[in-house]
Amino acid sequence: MKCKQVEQMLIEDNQNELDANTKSKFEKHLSHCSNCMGFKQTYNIVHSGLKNFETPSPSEELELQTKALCMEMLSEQNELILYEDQNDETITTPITVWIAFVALLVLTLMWVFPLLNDFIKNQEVTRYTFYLIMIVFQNILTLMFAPILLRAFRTKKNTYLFLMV
Amino acid sequence: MPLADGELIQRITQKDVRAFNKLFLKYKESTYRFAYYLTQNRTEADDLFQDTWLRAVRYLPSSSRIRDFKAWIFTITANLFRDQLRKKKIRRIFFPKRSVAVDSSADSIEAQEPIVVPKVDDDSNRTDIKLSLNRAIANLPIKQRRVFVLKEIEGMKHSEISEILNLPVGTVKSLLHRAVKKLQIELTDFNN
Repeated sequence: MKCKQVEQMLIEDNQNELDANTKSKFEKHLSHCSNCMGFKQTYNIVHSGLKNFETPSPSEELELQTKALCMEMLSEQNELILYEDQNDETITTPITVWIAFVALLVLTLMWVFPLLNDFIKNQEVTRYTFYLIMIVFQNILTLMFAPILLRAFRTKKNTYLFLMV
Repeated sequence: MPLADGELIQRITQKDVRAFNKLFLKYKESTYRFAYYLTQNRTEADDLFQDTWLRAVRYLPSSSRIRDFKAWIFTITANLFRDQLRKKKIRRIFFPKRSVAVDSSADSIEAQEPIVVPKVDDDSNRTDIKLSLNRAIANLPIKQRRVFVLKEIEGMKHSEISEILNLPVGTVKSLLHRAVKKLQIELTDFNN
């Protein structure tokens, strides 16, 4: 039996359910290996140390505040769910957005490929390469911020709906 | 006879305030404890605790088949904490100076107000163990700490932890093993 196996067995949930053969191998290894014995000792120290821990608990103010907010949400929730169900279609992406997205994608590809080709061939920074870098930079920025903006927009909208109900 | 969690959840969906109070009372301590051990900071633990309960209440009506409420609320806490970490990373990229200032101010608060205080004990050696253990747990990498806290402090099984953290059982075991190995190094003085 290897040390790693023995150490794994020490932290197992079902240590008492081991069969007799495995158990004897396990105990035999443990009695000879100082490494595993040290591991077992640490595990015991950790266990006894944790038993005497005074665990953190929420302050009374936090409890009251959380409870109040939860109650408020509970009391308004049913109406909100109904309202959201009726307005499911508002979350779908409008067709105009898809058209704009495809158009932008085509335009970007039309610009990027010739410019990239030019840069690979000539290996120097020209006015066109600068355009290329700008396009790449603009795309990176769009990709990074679009989800954040969309999420903010949707959250805001939901909050607004929540207040309106 | 105390009501089962499923019954309480059912009543909460019917706007039963007393049922919510009971559920809150039952799980507030463990939720806060988990939030604290994840964040290692009282202010952040407060926020995480509150956000967890608000999210739980928000999704309770649509989660009618919750088998284990404790596991479910711990999953929410772990997910919210993961989101917080992501946001922090983004903030660090865009506002490095500000995030360093925020982090250091949080640390200073923590230094003034340690939350996990071992019980007063005449035996100074035992107190030393507790303090060292507390420090060693705080020094564990976040992935190992999550697993360690759920297993050793909350007393959950590997399968339950795997469900909460959405990790394979093998990974849970391996993370726990690495955590204890790390603690072994940190607590070398007490092993001898």
